[in-house]
Amino acid sequence: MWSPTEPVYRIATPTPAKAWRSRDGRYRLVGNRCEDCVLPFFPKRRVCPQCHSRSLTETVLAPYGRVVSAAEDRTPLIGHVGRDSRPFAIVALEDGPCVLTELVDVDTGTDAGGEGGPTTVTEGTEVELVVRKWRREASGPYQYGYKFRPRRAR
Amino acid sequence: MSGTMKSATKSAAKGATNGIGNSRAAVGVSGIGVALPAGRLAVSEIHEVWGTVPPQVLRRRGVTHRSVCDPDADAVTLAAEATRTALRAAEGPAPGAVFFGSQTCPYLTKAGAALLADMAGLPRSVFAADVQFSGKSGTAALLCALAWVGAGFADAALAVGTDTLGPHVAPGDPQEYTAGSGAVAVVVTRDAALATVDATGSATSDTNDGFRTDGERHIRTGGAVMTATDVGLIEHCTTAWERLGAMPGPPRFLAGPQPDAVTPVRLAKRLGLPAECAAPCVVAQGIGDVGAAAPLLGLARALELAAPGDRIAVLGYGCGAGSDALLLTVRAPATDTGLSEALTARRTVSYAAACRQERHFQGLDRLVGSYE
Repeated sequence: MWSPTEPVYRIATPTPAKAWRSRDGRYRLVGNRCEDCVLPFFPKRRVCPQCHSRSLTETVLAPYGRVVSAAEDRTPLIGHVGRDSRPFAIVALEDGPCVLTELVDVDTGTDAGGEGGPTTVTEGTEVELVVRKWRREASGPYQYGYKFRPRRAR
Repeated sequence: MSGTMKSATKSAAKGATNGIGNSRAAVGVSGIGVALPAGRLAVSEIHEVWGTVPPQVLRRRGVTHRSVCDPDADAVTLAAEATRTALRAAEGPAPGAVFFGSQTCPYLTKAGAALLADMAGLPRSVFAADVQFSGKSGTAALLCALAWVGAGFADAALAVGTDTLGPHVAPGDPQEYTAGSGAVAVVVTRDAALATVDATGSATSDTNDGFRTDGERHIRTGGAVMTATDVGLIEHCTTAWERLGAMPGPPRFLAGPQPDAVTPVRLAKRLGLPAECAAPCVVAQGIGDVGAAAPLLGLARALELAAPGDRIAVLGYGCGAGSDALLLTVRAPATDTGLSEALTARRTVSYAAACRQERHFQGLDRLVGSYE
């Protein structure tokens, strides 16, 4: 029977175990920080590339940041049928690391704008974290993860 | 569950006010957060396509737009967004229990509450449970959280009402004109910062005015007979309301179920309350029916408008599940619920785009792409 769930596209995703291990990073931007040189990382690293220390502690990075560079992807990707572009950006988080992320609720030039409508994202736009559906894993479950949208709350 | 919450003996005496509100624990709401998808579909556009409901009836319902769920959003992601706002506003201990109230969880077998607990960053020692299957699951989750904290099982609990009705109502169904999406998260603690709960009441009966059997694609309604005769919403809400006991006067706000924009006011009149207490809490005009989140959206609006000492009544109704009623006394108005931001951030969506986003029609599933 036809169901509202998305089909399981045949994208090779990593094993469910890897997706499960990385979930705190995807949901809440949990990175880590070098205890010796205080450098923050996202995603988590096992060795600090600067001082080669292996003592890193987990930290939850701030859910806010600024756009470094924004662009649109018009590649016809499966699982994105009917979307003529996917806006994405490099976001510099308030804590330092940069994330390559998709954007939501932004003006892609095709939506009707108007009052309260989607905003155009440029360099320096403040954005905030939202959790959205990324895809379905090859084994079936939904994979949720971070996307960003123009910041609402102060 | 009915009567006041202080003790079994006290609640047996009908009319005994102030159960938990005057008690030492003062269990209540200390944070509330709202999330709505940005997409809005004009009701007139649905009428152009289907014409199943006369335009004057649509106008009488008072809903001009319904919110449209984004293709990458569902009940869980909306709940996570609302929870982030609620936890940011709430002070005090981290929630030790999560009650996820929804009738449209993306999983039929898997706890949405567990997903939400991970997304909210709660410790693994948390208790998580889904309160599912009806439009009153938001208030039911809130009652569960209040009972959980009141019983001392945890210092704080999280209750979420979240629904994406748009994808789950059939095209052409009269409900489609108002089927919206949204979520509200409520943080419940002892010694609550925003409002304390004085009394609760419930009513339940087997009433088939809305259901979805296992494997069925869409939520069905019991038809016009059930709504026209008032056996569902009005009668259950009245029974639950009576269980709240005698009150010194009408509460300042009544946050009722919002299947459309006029039902809360109609309900207030039926309960003998002035229309002015229900009207300010109605937010359905621009977003439609958000199911389990609707009464809690009214609560969020009331908490924003209220002054300390005001009383707020919350009435939830779910098709085929009955009604819940709560009476709260405000301690401080809520400042950061995200409601006004969520109502103003909007993007117009056409009917065709909404159908595709909410997956109403089965498109060609190309499971393999040339770029993958």
